[in-house]
Amino acid sequence: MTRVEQGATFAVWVTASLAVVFLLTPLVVTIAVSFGSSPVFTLPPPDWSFKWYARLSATKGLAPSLVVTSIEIASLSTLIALVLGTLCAIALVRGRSPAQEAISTFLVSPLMLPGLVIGIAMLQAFRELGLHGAWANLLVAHVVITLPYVVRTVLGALSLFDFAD
Amino acid sequence: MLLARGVTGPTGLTLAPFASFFADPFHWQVVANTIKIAALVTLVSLLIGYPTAFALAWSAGWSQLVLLAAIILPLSVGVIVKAFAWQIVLRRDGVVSLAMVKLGIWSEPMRLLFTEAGLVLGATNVFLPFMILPIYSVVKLIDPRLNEAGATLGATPFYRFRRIILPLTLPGVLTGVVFVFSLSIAMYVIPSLLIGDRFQTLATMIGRSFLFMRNEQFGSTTALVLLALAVFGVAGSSILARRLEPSQ
Repeated sequence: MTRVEQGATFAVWVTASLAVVFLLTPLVVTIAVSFGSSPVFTLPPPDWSFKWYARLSATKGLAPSLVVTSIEIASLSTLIALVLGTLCAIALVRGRSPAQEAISTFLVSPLMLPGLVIGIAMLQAFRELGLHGAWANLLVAHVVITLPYVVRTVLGALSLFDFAD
Repeated sequence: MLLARGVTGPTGLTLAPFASFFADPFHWQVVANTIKIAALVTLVSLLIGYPTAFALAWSAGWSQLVLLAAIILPLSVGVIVKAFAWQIVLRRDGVVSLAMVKLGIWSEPMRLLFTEAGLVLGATNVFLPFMILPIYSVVKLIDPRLNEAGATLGATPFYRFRRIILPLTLPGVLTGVVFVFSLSIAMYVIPSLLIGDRFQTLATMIGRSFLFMRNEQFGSTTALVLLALAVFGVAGSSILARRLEPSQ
């Protein structure tokens, strides 16, 4: 290893360590504040307590409805988005369609609009189509929003993949 | 996205809403704000994310676990929660301000919250994983023998980086840039919590017109402008990448 390479390696690790601290800051702050006794956000909190967690478990209907629905929607939409997204990415890499660039841009377009706009647009579209099941609508919306992540990530990995093997 | 068109359809019959949108200099200011913030966030994420992706690819065992946890864990926390956490950190009496005074960089406590720097910091924090992960997935696939072969043939480290590593990681970089740019051009929660109403971006303007002003036409027009801007950015970066590729 030359000195330049050693320097580069050192710089990479310093940046990575700073990135770790940077990325974890909001989590640490949130956890610290959640154990504080103060009803307003303060850091460091005046005193430590579990009272907000006690308050949480006392709230009725939280566990069955919200937690179960969250897990159901999250796992199902992940599954659907993974299958659909991988298929889309393979088609985009292997296919020879003239509209390829357009399709791949189109597939990331849900990322470019704020969640708010997509939400309002979907609400109106579902209403017009006569779909009123909140659960199914939620699932479709989640798939639409998670699909671009799958497509883009798989696309990046596939671009170095040798299909001739 | 066809669904989004459904709501923007009513404005499409005439171009008048767009004409009035662009006639107002305030809207140009908002468009400039949006592009500036999105570009800054993308740049800062790339500067931090590129080396971090390499560290993640080189690391093993314990250090890899820490890095992965730091990148993946924040994804499971909602944007709103993170934005509130940054509100606490960036306040005048927050941790950052106190640390800067202690280190003697600032002479007195300053408020980063509700400034553009605070917004860029918070947004970069939220979107950084989307820069690191695509670059990492490409770096991992690079054959280390390529770099060694270059060294054997007498190429300097800088030359090897420019001619071997950089071209090979370019697809990942492009994916990351596209991700972060399109996410940060469209972010709504982060600017509204970290900078407030004084500094409008296109996304907060859309939110205001739908939620508070009940002006769906103006909201849809702004949404289309935002979408056009984002598509332009993404298409531009992929054309730029293709321009760079033949040089390898």
